[in-house]
Amino acid sequence: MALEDFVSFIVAQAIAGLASAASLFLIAVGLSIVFGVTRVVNFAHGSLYMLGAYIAYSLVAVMGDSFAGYLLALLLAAVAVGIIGGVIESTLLRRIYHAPELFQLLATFGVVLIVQDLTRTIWGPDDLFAPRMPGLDGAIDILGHAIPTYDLFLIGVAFAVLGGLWLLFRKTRFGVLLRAATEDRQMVSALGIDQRWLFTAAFVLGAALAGLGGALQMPRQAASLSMDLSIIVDAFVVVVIGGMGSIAGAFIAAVLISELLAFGLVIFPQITLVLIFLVMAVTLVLKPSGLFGRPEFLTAEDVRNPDPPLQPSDAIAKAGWRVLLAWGLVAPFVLGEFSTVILTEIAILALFAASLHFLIWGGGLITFGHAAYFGLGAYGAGLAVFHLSAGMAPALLLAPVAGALGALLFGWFCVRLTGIYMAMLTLAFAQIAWSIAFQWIEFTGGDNGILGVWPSAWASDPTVFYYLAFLVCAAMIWALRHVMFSPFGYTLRGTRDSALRSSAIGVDVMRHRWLAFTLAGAAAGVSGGFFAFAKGSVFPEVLFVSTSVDGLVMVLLGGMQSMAGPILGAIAYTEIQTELNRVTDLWQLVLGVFIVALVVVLPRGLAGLSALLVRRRTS
Amino acid sequence: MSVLTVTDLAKAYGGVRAVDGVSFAVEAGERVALIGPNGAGKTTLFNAIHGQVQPDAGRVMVRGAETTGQAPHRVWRHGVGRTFQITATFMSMTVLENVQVALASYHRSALGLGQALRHRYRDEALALIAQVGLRDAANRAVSELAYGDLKRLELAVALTNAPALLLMDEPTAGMAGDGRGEMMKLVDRLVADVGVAVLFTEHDMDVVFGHADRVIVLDRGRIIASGAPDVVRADKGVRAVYLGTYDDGAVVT
Amino acid sequence: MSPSALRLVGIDAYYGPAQALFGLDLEVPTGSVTVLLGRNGAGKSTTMKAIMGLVALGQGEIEVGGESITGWPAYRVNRVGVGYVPEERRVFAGLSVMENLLVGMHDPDVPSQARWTHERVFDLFPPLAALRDRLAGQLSGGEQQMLTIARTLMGNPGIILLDEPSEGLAPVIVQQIVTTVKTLSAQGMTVLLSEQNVRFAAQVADRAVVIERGKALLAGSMTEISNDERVRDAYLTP
Repeated sequence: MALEDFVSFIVAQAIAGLASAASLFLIAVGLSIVFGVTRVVNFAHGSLYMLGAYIAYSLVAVMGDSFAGYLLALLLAAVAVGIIGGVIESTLLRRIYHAPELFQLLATFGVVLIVQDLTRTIWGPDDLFAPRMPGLDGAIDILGHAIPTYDLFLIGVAFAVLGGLWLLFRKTRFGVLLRAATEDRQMVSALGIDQRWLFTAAFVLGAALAGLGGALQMPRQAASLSMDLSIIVDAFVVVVIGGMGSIAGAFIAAVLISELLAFGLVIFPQITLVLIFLVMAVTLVLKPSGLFGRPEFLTAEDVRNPDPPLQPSDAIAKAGWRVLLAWGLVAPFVLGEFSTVILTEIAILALFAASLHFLIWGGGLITFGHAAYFGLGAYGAGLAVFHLSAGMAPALLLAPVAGALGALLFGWFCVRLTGIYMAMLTLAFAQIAWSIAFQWIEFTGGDNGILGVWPSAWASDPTVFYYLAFLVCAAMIWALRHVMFSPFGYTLRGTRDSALRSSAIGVDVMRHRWLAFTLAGAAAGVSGGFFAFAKGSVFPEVLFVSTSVDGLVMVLLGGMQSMAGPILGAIAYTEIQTELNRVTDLWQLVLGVFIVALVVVLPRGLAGLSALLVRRRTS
Repeated sequence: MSVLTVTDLAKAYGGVRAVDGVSFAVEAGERVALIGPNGAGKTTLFNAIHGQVQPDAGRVMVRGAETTGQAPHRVWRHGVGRTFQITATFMSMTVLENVQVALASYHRSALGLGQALRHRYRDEALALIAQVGLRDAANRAVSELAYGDLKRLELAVALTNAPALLLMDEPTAGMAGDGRGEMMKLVDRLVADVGVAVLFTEHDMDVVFGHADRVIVLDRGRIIASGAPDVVRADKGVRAVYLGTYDDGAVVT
Repeated sequence: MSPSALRLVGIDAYYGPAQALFGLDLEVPTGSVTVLLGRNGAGKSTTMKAIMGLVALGQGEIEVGGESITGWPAYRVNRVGVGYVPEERRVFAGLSVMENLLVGMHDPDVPSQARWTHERVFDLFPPLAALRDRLAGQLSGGEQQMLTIARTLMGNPGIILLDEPSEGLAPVIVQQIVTTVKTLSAQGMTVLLSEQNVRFAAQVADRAVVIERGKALLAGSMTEISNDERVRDAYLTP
């Protein structure tokens, strides 16, 4: 390649990267502003971005014939999303500012589900293409490359927003208050500022920016129902790298990631994701709160509402466990053979939920990416069958190894962080695993998945396979429970209660958390392996965030403070989902409302609910 | 050999010398109080000895072994127990379990996956609990304890590794009057019984002058006086920066 | 005697499980300069935080001008005219001097000639005027102390709480703060300050309350308190 060709290639890629960075910056900066002021990571921020795109699509259809009309449509979409954001903040978020981080993330994920189904209902399931923007539908020649004028417009908008935010934050009282609140909320309050309106205003601003980001994408890509989760994960990566609460950090990290993708896709398409992974990992190891972030003050030790001490099972609980076990053994006969498929699934998901419960309740490790280890187990088994023609037994043995190795690798980074940063990093790792499974088509089959992962002949009968899965999963759950009572488990519980005290009695807190993470990864891997054989196939969805959330909902539904919780949660959740699927297409909507209600109405009362369930089941 | 030897220890935060060349030693069975105005560097010095803060310069030796810059969980292995200003305990456990977890760590079985913890080190834990006067509360949830009992529990936990040195950060803070005296009597008895050395910070001068064998006064990161309580109390420099403000001429006239 | 601007009756306060105030009583007469004396850790700062609603309260009542403000959030306490100057100054380090003042300003319920403005604040603290565009994080300790007082004044408080205003400052700066407190008092403001530096306290205060172990031990005029034998006994005899 001649030198000038090389230079023009570089310039063209750089511009394309900057154009992609524009929207990413808009959404990440909004997420960052909202977090800086309210300390809530809003999972539904991607949904606001998606709404911006859909609303813009509709408005453009009405008024988008001219450049001015099109522009107005984009701006109106941003305003509309800002208003929607205000409604969400004042009706939902305001109620959960004092809830634990996990509940906040989950509640906002409930909003994601609600918005998903509402959007599907209003605009339909198909991708929507907006016309190009009049006046900006051409391309101009820069050093021999045709650069779309709209890309240049996007870059211009990004800089305009950056400048506008700079003016807002530097030159208006509102902006000054936002900056002050990001530094020291308590002092702002002591100076007479009511935080409530500040929170709402910050949220409206963040939502409007997300809406604008979505609207601006319309001429470049179709509005689709998957854009909410794909952008939010990118935004998480950006704010983790840039530092939560920093505008400059969001800008620089958005450019960094977008340029990395723009060049990476051309130069080494296979390892682009790995590059992003490396950038994120190196940043977090060197600067755990991101390039421009401030270290979080340590408030992880919750002294207000401590859990009661662990109790060994009393007579009633023992009877309950026996009933559960006995029911599992006779259920195929009582319910008939057709039920074994669902029973198998329940057994597998109960183990998945139990391994998650072990981390969250046993170790206080907030993970939003537990699907990674479930999925690695499934892929470990599936790939062993597909590439090595392994039988079921060796494939199932490989599953926990795959889950544990993944957890060993990802966990090394994750346990260095706490709270919300840990939740976001676990999610980012899980999504990276998902992307790899999705894109590495030669190895994983990509979107087509791995087919033909069937049990060996001796276990091919669904009832036999059910018993195998049931017994192994029950044994694993029992083992996890046993670990919680062992010195390892108690020490882990200790690191959750007080990391300070733990280190002062000789416990290497990070190493302990890392081992717990790996153990839970292995257990999730087992359930993933069985899941692969139960379905006969493995698709990238096993690694997707929705799988992680399924696990979290099961844990919360069953009650966090009880060992039986994840099992009951898996039973209830699987039943509810099966029933809902039967009666309505809007099961995501119902589930979302359900999750939000669960968090808002019963933030601490879930254990009571499950105790009620236990009583009902054992009596 | 001294239990603790601190030599030329220094730590600065962005230009502010929080600890500025501090040297002292603590001998076995000695009770040493560290006092000084707010911001004098007591907390930084404590944290640097305990490994939560990396010193910029200087050395820390525990029983002749260098521990400078080691993490708290390693410093603990050299025989250093710690209590905190606001107690740090495992709130979701019983008193007994708190001590059992510490004993598991001491006996290097914190990674053990076998026998349940509640069957292990029970007698050893109960003996320590009795030693701090919590025998009747052994099976109670920590979250139900009065604050004074939490402080006692911390002490029991800090004793699990048969320490040579106890670092006590404000042992009587957050307690009502009579509780303070009882707490310090307990510390005195432990010193007499097991010969542990105690280095403590404290704001209550009754406690300092009633229970310390030696007092070290810190101001702006430096030791400005050190010695027997009576000597320190009479020191003009100490009165100027800390003690003497209340009978300064300026007030009376 | 004038009615109390501020009254605390039997206040208990907590940091997590640790109790910091044990039934503390306090009266601050309107127009007085009252000083809280006591060592660090005695409960002086906690008393101020309790008034501002910044620590968890147990039992007790807090009144401002006869109105109960017990359990109010900080912004409402501020809005009834209580300004708070915290111990570690807590300026907004990333904001300029002017911006810090802007955060403190709110629409006053005060006649316009009595209102605090940038100009009036700069008259009180001339060095700040030249630093108006400097980031607060780059100011010296003394300048930060001026700024944090100035910032609080911008909210036009009737009562100002000054937590250890002389701490860590050079003597010459402490003298400036003395002048400031006298000026504010002469303008009719009620002042509650906490101090370990009795020399400082004696110069400005007309009333003193000795706090020890989270309780008010003694209260009276500054002269009475400084002549009280028990004050020395309480600190210097085991």
